[in-house]
Amino acid sequence: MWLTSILDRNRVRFPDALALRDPRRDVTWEVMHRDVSALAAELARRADRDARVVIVSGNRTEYFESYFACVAAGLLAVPVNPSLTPVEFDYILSRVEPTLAIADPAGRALLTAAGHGDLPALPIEDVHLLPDAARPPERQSLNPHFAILFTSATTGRPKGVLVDDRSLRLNALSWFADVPVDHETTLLHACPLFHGSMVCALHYLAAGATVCVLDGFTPQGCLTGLTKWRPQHAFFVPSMVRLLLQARGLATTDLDDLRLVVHAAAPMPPDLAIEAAKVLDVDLETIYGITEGGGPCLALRPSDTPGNPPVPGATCVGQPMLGTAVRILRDDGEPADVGEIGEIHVAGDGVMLGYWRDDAATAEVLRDGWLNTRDLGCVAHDGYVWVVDRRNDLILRGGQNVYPAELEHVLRHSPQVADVAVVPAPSPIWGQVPVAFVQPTTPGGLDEAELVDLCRTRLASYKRPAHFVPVERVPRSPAGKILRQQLRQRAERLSDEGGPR
Amino acid sequence: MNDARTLIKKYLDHPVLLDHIDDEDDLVAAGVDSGEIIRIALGCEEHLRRALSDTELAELTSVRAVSRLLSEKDTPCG
Repeated sequence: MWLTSILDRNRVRFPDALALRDPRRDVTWEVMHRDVSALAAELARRADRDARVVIVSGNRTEYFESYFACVAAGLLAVPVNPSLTPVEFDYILSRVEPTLAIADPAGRALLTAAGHGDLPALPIEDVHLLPDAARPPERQSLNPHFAILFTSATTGRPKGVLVDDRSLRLNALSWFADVPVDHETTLLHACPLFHGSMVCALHYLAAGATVCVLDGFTPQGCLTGLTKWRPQHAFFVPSMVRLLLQARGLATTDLDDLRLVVHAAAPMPPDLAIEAAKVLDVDLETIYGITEGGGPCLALRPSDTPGNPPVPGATCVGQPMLGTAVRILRDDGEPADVGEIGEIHVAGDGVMLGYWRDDAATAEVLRDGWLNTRDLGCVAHDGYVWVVDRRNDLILRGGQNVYPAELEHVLRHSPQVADVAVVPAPSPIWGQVPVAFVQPTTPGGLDEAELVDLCRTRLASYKRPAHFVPVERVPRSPAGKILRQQLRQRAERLSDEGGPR
Repeated sequence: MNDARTLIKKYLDHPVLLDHIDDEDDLVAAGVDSGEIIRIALGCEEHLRRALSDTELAELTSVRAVSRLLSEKDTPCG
């Protein structure tokens, strides 16, 4: 209902204004309305209500149209990272049991490679060729489901976050309160559209703004987009900003229209923030979000003036966005004092309904409406929230989540691995990269090529450890728990010595 | 081709990966991460001391393509 109301409203108000742009096509609200209606009719003809539709494609305008069409047809969109290996992809499909796919040529090849070649797949590149059709009658309900967004997993397997209409609504209204967006705004959204950050682009569409997407991020392609589309806002992860600043074309690119860079998904190093603001001549806005929280939860606006970090290395993430509540809890579950570090919990209508068909995992993180983010942080005296560290072992590589358990699970399949532990190491470009400490089955060196090849076939390339370090023994507690802190310190030293990039 | 391989290896987390990639192989299909591709492209810009065009960027898919680009060091680009 939320997305279809956006479509109907903006089609009337701004029929000839641009809603979407990519390197191939410009789409007005009138055209988007036509495409969505045609695709929704086709989807409704092929699938029963509440069926799952997998979207596997690179970025393109039709990706947004697919989200809108799934909602219009009463179906659940399941966007999937197209860079997953067939094994990873097959696992997700087996969890959601889709009726249909919407896919680009590479996505259709992945479906076949993963053993799902018989799943009916609509070519996403042909959406604009579908015959005109009336949108199917919409079933009205207070809170229809919107999508299942898969995240990496603490348990070694990805989990599907069930997002509903209510979450999108609240998040959009929160966004309008903290980000200056209206129908004259143009956004360059540089992140992949299967990623949870795509809800931020949906919020721009809700305001009637124009959203421009790159096929995939490259610094050079981004500069082309900035030149061609002249956006006032851009949405990046910090690694993208770092790479953009290294592009030789930046010096001759006219960025006069760009005013605001919104960044999320990983902490922005202070030196990078200063350089970006100066070189790009923009304001920066920090968004703290989590897929399970429906996306954006806290915002640090350009005009905000937090004090010094309460703990060295802490990152200020601002204040809760409108409609979101935050509390910090100690280990015993009691509220932490001001300045005291504990686990950050968020609550509000943005929070997910739960993990798809995984009540046990849901119960671990969601209690009495409060979502445990597993981030450690505190609230300072002035009310600003600071993130200090993560309690669980998540590795944030260039804004993408990588969980050690998933990598360790794969590496244990190698005959040369007796034991393994994966921890993050600092990286000047990606923020963090995974490093694997491997205890070989036989003394001596590791066959790195074999491990790389194993990862290549079982893990999406962004998850692959940047370094394999042989160790005599993976340190474990008497209870058998990996002593990750020891290894993290060792990985940091490795980084200082010029190891992971 | 050696210059291209040297440059590419510099930007791979695991240079050993390149030993299993033929000159014509698609780098992404062979397991090179999209982030590594970005850094290879930036490395080419550094080597050529100029920005790559969109076309050059799109064609940067194999060791041979990188080699071809590096060998055109003095060719002006739009």
